[in-house]
Amino acid sequence: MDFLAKLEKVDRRIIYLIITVAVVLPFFFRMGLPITISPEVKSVYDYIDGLTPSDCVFISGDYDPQVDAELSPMFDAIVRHCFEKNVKVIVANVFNLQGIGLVEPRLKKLAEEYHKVYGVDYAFLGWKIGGSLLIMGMGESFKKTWETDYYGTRLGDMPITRNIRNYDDISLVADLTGGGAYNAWIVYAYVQYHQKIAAGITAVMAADAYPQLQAGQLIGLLGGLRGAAEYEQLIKHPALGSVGMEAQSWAHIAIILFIILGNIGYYAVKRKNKK
Amino acid sequence: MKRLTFVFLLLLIGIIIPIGADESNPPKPQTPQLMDIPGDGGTNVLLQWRHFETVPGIRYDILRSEDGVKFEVISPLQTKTITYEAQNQPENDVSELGYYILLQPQEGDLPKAKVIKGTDANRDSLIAAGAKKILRVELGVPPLSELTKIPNKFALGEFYRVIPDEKIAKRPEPITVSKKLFDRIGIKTPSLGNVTIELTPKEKELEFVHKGKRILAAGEDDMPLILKYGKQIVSFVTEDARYTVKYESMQFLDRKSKNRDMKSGKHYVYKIRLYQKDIPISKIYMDSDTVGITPQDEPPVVPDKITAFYNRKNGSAVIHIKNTSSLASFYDNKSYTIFKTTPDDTSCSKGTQIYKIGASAKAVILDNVDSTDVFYILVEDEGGQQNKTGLINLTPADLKDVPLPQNMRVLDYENDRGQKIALRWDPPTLAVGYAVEDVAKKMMQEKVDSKNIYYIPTESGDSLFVAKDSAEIPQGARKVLELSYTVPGGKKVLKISYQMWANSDDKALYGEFKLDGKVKIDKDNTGELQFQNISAGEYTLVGHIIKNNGGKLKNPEANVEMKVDATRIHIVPIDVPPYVYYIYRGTDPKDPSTFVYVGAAGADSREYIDQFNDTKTAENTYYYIVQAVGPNGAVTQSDPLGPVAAKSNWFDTSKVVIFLSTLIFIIVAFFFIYHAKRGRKFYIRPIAGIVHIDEALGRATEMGKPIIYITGLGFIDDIATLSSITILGRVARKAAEYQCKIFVPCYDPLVMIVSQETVRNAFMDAGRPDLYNEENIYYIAAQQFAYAAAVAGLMIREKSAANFFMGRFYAESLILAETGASTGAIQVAGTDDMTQLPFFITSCDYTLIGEELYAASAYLSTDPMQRGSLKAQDFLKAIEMILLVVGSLAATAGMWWFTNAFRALGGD
Amino acid sequence: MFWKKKVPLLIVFIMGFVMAVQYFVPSDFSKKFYDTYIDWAIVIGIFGGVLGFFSFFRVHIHKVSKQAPNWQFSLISILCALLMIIAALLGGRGSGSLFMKLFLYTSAAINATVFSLLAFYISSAAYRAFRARSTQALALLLAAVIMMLGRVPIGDSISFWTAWGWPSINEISQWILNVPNLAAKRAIILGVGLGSLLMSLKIILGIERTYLGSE
Repeated sequence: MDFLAKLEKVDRRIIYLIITVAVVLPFFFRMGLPITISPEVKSVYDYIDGLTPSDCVFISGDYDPQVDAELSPMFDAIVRHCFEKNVKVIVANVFNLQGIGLVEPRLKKLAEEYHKVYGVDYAFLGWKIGGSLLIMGMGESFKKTWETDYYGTRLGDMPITRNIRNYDDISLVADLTGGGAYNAWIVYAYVQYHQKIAAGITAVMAADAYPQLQAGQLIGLLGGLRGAAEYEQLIKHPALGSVGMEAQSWAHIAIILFIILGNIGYYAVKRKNKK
Repeated sequence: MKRLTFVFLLLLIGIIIPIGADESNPPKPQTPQLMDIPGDGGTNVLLQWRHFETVPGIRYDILRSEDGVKFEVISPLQTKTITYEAQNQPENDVSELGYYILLQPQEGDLPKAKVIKGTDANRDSLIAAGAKKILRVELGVPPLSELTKIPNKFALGEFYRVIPDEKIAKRPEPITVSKKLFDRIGIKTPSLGNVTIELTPKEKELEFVHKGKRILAAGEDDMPLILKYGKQIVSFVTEDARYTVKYESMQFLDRKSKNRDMKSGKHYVYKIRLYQKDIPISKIYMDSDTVGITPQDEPPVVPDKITAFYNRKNGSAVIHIKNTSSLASFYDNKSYTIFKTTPDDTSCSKGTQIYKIGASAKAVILDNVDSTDVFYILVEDEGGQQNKTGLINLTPADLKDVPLPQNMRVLDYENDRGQKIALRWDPPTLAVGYAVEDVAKKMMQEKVDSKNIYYIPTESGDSLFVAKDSAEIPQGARKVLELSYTVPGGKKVLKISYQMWANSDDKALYGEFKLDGKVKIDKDNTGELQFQNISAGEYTLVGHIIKNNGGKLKNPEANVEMKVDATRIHIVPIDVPPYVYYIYRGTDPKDPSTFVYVGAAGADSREYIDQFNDTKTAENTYYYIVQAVGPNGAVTQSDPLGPVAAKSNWFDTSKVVIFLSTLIFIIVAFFFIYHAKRGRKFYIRPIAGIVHIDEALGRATEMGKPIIYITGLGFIDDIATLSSITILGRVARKAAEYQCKIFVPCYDPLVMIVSQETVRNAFMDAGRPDLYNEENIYYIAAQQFAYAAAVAGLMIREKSAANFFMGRFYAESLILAETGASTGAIQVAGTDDMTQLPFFITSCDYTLIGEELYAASAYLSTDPMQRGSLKAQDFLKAIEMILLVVGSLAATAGMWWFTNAFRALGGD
Repeated sequence: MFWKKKVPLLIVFIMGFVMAVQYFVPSDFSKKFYDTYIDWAIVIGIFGGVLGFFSFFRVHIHKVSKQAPNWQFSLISILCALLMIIAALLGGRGSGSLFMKLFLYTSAAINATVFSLLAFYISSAAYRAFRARSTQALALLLAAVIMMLGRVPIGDSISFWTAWGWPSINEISQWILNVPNLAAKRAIILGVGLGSLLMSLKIILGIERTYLGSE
């Protein structure tokens, strides 16, 4: 009985220790938990899966280091899928200057892995001042709006961008954001040019995007680490998202166990006091 | 601890010394080339220069002088951000390839670079001519330390380092072709439309690849291939110099503006200044040589594209006038005068003036002319100079009539500051297009290697060819290896896309469509709708535009009834009439020369908004003329519309609902406050959190420990922060009475000042000004987590007995509250931040939720007016709840009149 | 009394009323007035920054000179603040400058560390708070557990009952988020809206003036 009563007041350091273990262990020992795929993630996957090598996907990494852990796995998964399908990829950071440092090294590494050629299979545009104006400009003239890529090459000089006139030549815009950047894409690219848009959003903000999803303004949605993990499952390449998901699973289970233990302790004390 | 501080100091000095270190001067920037823009009033000068990529610099300043001595900075210009390259990459070492660089001097420009491969035959002569062996190429910019090692020379030329890769050349490169190409060669595919084909590699590309690694000048081989396998070279490195060839073209247009004058005929001297560093204590820069120019007011440039028709139908002439030059926007042309003359007047010196218009006119209609009449245009510029076009003959044509917009009107644009005039016209139109697609699509792949199909790309279009034996294979043809295509399923989907061509007078909201009885509405006005899983067949589609009062627009153009053929896959695009409307604005309806072109509107618009830059010019009286222009050159011109003037509006009618609710709100609030003042007692339901504020204070006194009051991360203009400060006033007063120490660490300096003032006054009111210590109310940092860490430290060190968290909080809320909980303090929180409430509720003893935070100061007060305001709030909440319930019920029952009533009043 | 009470209250009343009217007036004068107001607000805000700067140094220098407990931390605070100022003065604040490096590799990293502490705090807070003390607390507890399971894959793995067509934990958690949670959220937002309106009115009319001191 005394032991049970102790459960009511577990030292917080023990809790911290167990949470640490629950978070860290999955990075070394993988359980490979199955993840059910939600329809909004599946629709993004299906759309990209239906693309041909003459199609081009535009990915905008509108996020900063704070939400890197949630959004970079999504970025990896989508780029991987495109590279596997030989779909062309153009990456930019329309709204977030800080995103350059997060996205560019990842893109290069993935391109190396899939033996992709810069300027032919993929391109990186970086950031340019303008925000929504860029989105609008791309509807008129892609090349005039961006002029050069991140490294200074004129877009007309690169095979991948040479034939892109405007949104007509972009099959999908994927916007990865920790805020509401996808709304600007909807207002300026979807409403005006009927561009297909998919969004990758942090878990906290994802709930806000469901109305747009229902209205068909987004073709699909990847919400938080879970969205990334689902996508990784679909492309059969479990990576950071899936590991993170396992870590999160175990952390949640640990917390639930603590809650249960705490309640057992609480009832034990209560019964004891009654007696 | 002291030793730690010492080490830290040493570290600090170690970091500061290298920042102060001097850096070398940048090389002299290239002298800019000046250009006087032709055809202007002598008020524009274009500067152009090259910025070589290996020149380190952060910014150019453009300097201008009138006397060549005193220069003023007229504008800064950013250079491109340089990407530094990792040094000594093995693939950039080209010494083995034996290339030589030779500079060929050019008159008045930088030398041209030639890159020649050295052979046994030419090597000696190359070296004799001064060529240097290339050791390395650079594709990026090396770091500054590397740059300063050898002299930097500049030359012109576009070169590529090419490293071909056979793997890439042999990789299949799928191409999408139309299904029709296969029909033509007699091969049936069940594809929906397009077929993606996979081909054998191009012969030419394989040949290119087999030549191996090399340096190529632009155009020396097939350019797309060079770009595919090559990277542009920034600089060549030889033993004793670096030859930079890649540059960015910089340009700057100096033009007369509000801040800067420029007069024709006056001499100006320019130079550019390149900064390598520009911070308050250290500026490192280098100036270019100076160049001078005297901008001239040239005679006007005549329009270079004039097409003239004689309209056989009504005996009028239409003259289209266009300046195609890219510099046309600089021309200071003022007016066009049209003269009628005879064909023998080749010098255009006689004739009679028949029409005069402003020089921005795009088209002119001349009535009552003869098909043999001949014209010329006299162009006059702002400076009074003149120039003439050649003779203009009329081409007889039967021009179709172009309809003018119906019921066109001009009016002041509503609810603005008086800088807009609106042109609106009718009829509101529902334009509908649709696509019939198959529902179940499946990707199919088919190997056709054995069928000997060849793909031949040609200028006029791609074609396919079946070869019976190898002799028949055409030059440049590539074999088709594999086909992939999508095949249809059973059911169809009808995708409707629609546009509402309407203006704000029509109050159109969204489209409603009916397909054989099935109704779909597009409430969010996305312009798209889908009828899914329909079986193949003929359908009738009926569409309407729904207005903001819930009714339909009545006119026939806004109601569509069309047959939809869903038996086959096809697209019916939205049909936009091929007209464009040119809009002109003038001040005198009788004098066409006062009219200037302001913009164009498409046939799919029903409104044009003429936006002015300032209110003063917008308030003049204006007239508008509209020209409707058809695809074949026909023009119809409206009579002048107007007069109209933009007005500065004094009430925003789109905010009527907000205004009315605010009014009701204020009346109710005054009613209760008035009655409270007259002594009426109101019952107020108690709030648990508030009672416990006193309890927490009492406990702190008993324990003799301080209290910590956090005003949150809000700024002084946040209502939550202001409420927090009012509660702080009462908490501080009680604290002073109990002689309890209070800490207020602040996130924002302004909040700190107000908090200091509030706490000081509270201590004075309590009669204990001696206990007040301003240093306990202090600023920490305007950084979220730095602030959280500092406050958490304070809680642990001071072991506070009570913590208050009132105001606006973000992710730091839990860090603060949990730390407080771990020290065993009583905690009371209050916030209107939805996302942080759960954290406070879990780790604080009492939490004021949302509006309770605002109400708290009123509860704590004995002032009857405060209590009256609380009652008013409850009463208004009741009204809000009733509206909410009625609205939800009405919407559930499909009665949109309730929400639409608010919309009709101007709300959204 | 006049300068410390009446004048500030008068300024608040006039500005509050004028800004409220300004909201409904789109005219040119009103827009220009608003622009001027914004400029003033920015300028006053900058003065606030200066005051914060002095407050920071005054408090910490005082601590160091008095050798108050933990005065070493204050010294480090002062030195760090000076370091950032000097780095910005000498090397600018552009990318690649010392200031930016210090910011990215110390300040940003420390911020991220403090942020990640949340994972630990949330677990100990949940452990303490979720006790089934009453029926309401039990409902809260159950909702929390369902939410936690629904957000991670294990929630679906243990939803064995989906075979009978019942909603999975994931779907239940989504429902909790979209229906009861959203309803409560909107109710609070409406209350907050009304409360802040009334608070504004009280401040404009001078009924609420605790921030100026006594009653």
